[in-house]
Amino acid sequence: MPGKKKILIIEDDPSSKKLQTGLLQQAGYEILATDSAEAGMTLAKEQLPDLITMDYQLPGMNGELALKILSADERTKNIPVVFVTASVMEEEKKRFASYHCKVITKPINTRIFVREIEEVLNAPRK
Amino acid sequence: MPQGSKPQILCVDDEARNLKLLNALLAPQGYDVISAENGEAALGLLSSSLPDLVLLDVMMPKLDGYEVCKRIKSKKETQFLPVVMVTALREEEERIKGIEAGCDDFISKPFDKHELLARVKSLLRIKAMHDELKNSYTKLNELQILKDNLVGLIVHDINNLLIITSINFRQAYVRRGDFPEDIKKSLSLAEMHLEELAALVSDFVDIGKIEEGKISLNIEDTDINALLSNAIEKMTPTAQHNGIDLKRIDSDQRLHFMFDRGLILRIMSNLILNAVKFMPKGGTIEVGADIFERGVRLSVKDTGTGIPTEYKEKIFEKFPQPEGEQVNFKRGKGLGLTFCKLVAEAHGGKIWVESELGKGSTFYVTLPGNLE
Repeated sequence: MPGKKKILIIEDDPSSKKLQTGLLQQAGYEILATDSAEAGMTLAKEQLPDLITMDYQLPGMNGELALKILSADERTKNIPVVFVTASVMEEEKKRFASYHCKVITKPINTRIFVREIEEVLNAPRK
Repeated sequence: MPQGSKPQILCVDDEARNLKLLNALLAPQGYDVISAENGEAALGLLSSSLPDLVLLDVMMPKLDGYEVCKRIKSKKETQFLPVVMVTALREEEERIKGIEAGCDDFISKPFDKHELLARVKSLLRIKAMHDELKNSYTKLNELQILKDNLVGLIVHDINNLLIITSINFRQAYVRRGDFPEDIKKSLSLAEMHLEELAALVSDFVDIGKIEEGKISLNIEDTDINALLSNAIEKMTPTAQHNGIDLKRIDSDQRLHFMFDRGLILRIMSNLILNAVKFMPKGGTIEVGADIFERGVRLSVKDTGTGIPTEYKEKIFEKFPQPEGEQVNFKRGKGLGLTFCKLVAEAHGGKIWVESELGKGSTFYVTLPGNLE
């Protein structure tokens, strides 16, 4: 099935995972969803999704570590990552900016979530 | 007492002469003797180090022997420390007072050397046994924690592999229409067993979380009828595969409550799966729900072998399957019902089973309707 873009959702909060999955599925994307960051990293390598959304703070792994893991692998280093996170302090904002990653704060705005994801998906790659 | 070191004996007496005498008797026997000249000094010593035995004079100014003994026996750190009362009093009344204060033995002054040594030796032997028992218990606890951690690590890894396997499998499964019939059938079976394995692992992980008090209920408005339909739909392939008829008892009541929908759905799936496994082919499972004390009562009724009375409570414990037991009793995985119980209780509810041997069992779960 060429054409259908694949998005990997790594989120341990079941309702947030369900919501993101629903919104993106409806928009026509193929969704792989898991609550385990470790499983997510393996899936990224095996499934090569077009984009990853990830809760910044997951049990056992934060976003920074995930980025390190992804960028250490040729196949996954260019996959765009969107952090979905509950609270963003000023200090954290600066840190996020240094990752060159889009950050979406929870609770997600259901009206613009898909558009926000698509902006990242369609942005020209470096 | 540390292994290989000398047993230490604390002698408490207000007369220096007596302390000297005790020391002269005990030291040559290989005991490490320390002494205190009054009750306060003795208690002070005991707060910083623990000997193996106390020889305690009764008649002392201020704190007498009874009082010192009482204090030793009332403290958690020293309650098992053997205390021998050394007394010139032979009256029965005095001995009773000593026993009431918690002392372990008496010796009368002037004491006979052999009697003293025999009593000391005997109490030290008991103390050593007690210490050994205590050490074994501590060690066992440590091993248990180690084991739990190890099991946790293994389950964690299994869980991750399972997630990866399921998602990869799903890629093939959604396209099963393209495959020939026999492969389709294998895929369906694999899908069924993967689901079962995932449920087992989730139960295990969540039981751990609930036990550690780390689970947070995701309370949301739950349509019970929709939830039961959902559970039945999910478990129908498994029931059909085992030749079991799974159906809903009719209900036109509107049942809406505030629950953790995902967890209650898993309770129902677990109870249905449990019923399927304990039933011969051709049986029937009926799933129902009704209002119960302003909450809801969910039920799963089977026509299985029934559960002997003595197991009605036991089946909700972790790994309760009696070994080498009859008919179908060995097939359970022994975690599903524990999970159900803990989740029901986390909701402030209850679970129990009513059963008749040879006819079947009904599992009931009641959940209060006032959760917000």
